[in-house]
Amino acid sequence: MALKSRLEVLTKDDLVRVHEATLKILRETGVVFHNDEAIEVFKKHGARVENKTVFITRELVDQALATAPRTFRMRARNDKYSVTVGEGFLIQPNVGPVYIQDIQKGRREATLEDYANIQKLCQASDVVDLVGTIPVDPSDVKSSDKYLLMMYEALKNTEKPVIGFCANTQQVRQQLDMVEMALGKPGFLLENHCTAVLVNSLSPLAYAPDTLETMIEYAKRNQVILLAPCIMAGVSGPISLLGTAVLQNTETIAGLVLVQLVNPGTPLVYATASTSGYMKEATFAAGSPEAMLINTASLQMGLDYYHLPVRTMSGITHSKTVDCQAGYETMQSLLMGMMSGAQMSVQSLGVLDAIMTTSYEKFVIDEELIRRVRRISQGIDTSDEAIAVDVIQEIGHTGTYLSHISTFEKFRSLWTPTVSDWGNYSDWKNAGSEDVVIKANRKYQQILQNAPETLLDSETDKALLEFIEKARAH
Amino acid sequence: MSDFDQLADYVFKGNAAAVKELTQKLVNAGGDPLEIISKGLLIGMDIVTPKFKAGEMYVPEVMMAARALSEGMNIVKPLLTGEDIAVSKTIIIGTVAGDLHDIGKNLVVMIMESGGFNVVDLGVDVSPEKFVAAIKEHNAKIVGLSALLTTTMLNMKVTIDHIAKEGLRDQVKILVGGAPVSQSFADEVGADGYCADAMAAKEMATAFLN
Repeated sequence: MALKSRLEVLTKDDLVRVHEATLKILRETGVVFHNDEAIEVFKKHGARVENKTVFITRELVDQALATAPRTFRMRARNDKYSVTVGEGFLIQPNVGPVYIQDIQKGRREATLEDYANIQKLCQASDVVDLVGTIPVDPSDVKSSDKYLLMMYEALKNTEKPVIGFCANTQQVRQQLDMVEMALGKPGFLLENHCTAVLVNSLSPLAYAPDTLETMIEYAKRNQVILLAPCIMAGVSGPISLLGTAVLQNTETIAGLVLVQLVNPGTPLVYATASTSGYMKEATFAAGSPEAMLINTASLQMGLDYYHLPVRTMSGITHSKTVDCQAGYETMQSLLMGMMSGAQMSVQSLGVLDAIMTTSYEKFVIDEELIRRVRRISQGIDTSDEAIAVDVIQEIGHTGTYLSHISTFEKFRSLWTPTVSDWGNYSDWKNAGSEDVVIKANRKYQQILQNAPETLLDSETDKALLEFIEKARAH
Repeated sequence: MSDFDQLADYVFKGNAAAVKELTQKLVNAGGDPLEIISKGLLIGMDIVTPKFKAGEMYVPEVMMAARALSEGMNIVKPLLTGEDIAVSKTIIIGTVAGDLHDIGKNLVVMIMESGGFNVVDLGVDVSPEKFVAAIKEHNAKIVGLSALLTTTMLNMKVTIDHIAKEGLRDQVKILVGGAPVSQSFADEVGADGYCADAMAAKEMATAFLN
């Protein structure tokens, strides 16, 4: 089983060209790091530094690649949800939408309640592997409290491996402490990879202060870094898709070197989140077929050249509502992501409007798209039993396979939809001619109604709340 | 085609070298600087604006046109006397504290300059104090705040509050923009206007000055 081919856009020689191009840029142009500690780390390891620009040698890159793990285990609070990163097609929550949307209340700024709701949907979902992060940015809480409250809601409503938030050093330490409290004992994080964080470079060729503080703190605590340049070809990167893939690779390798210097062996996921620019507005083109083509090139680098775990951004659309455009753009992106070998995907759960919005209904619909794509990734059974000569000969020229024992034993393994309608026309009409969005609306509300009040025991809950109170007082 | 029409056409096509050469030729021949601007250079940009709005011209083309325009302006501007500049069209602009993103902000700067504004660009990661100091120094009537991150957009409110605290709120109109910014966010932080894109920023700034 599993597909026999992967979607590829580069030859083996091209992989070498991209790597050599990366080394040339790192050596001759360098990368700007807006953080003193990062600069000191580079200096200590012999890198040439001019002001904030660090010039990275081939030796430093080789060293970093030697210590970065190819796969690793991510521990969940409930161990049955622990995952191996670097295989399969793991799904994580969205990162970044400001708005929440459903058909009853339309599009509005998201609240902490919406944030908690999405966590509940992620916990209940059989296709979502990781939780936390920022699937919607809550607008109704103070920015100084936001990270504490989001982490609390993620821990309260889920028990899968949790993703934190890019922030300043103190805020990052607090979120890591909270994860450690929920997992039981002090020092647990140093021995186990329990939490991850998504960081973006400041394209072109730079890293912002908060990003670096986050990377350094996560690395020191031995936690997972999902490093994803988010470049727009023609805006913040070259207009050529290959050039943007080169820039993306260069920024990632620079970040990888820093992380491995801070703490060798820190798990880092080679994540790709670039797109082409939408040149009528100089913005990010979410629905473009070219977006995934850039990332396909980068995934080849991550997988085949560097042997790192890889993630991509797939399942994105520019549509403002859950319509036909939303459907085909989402599927185009998601399918290309899986076929390009991504082992993890982000922005795959209900995003609309170029990741500005998360839709409750589309979350439920996208779960089905993920099930479809995962089914495709499994390919077909090619065993002797599956070739079915005996069955074909037994049935011969008349009769039906419908009542054959082999069908009876296996038919439930055929893929069936969870929200799409495959019934006949009159049944559909008699049931009110419902659009898939209406069904998805009903479904998400049911899931929320059935979600447990809390997944924290009262002692941990109390400890976390006290921690938040203390942190707020400071 | 008259020289002015030719100049406008060069601006429209984003041919900076040709704009520079023809502007210099017109200046050398004793042409009126104000006429060169109003009948030539700005006419070129006037062709661009509606075409951009209609989706016929893309951002890189608009930026080339704006760059060509500024080549011409650089030659003519020093020749203008104080009386020629009727109203002070000064705008202070910057990305708010904590945010280092500037692609969108730089786009607004170019479009504003192409609209004849004197743009004081404070750059990125600009503190509220720096905005206030610049408003005082340049006696500006318009301030533009930019942010890309949901974490930093809240510094727009901090900046606006600081401008108010310094007693300058009534003197300036404050425009906000950036990917996560919305009309409701602009209302909430007490801005005077939300600009969805660079053209909207230019139009709003122009409307406020009139």
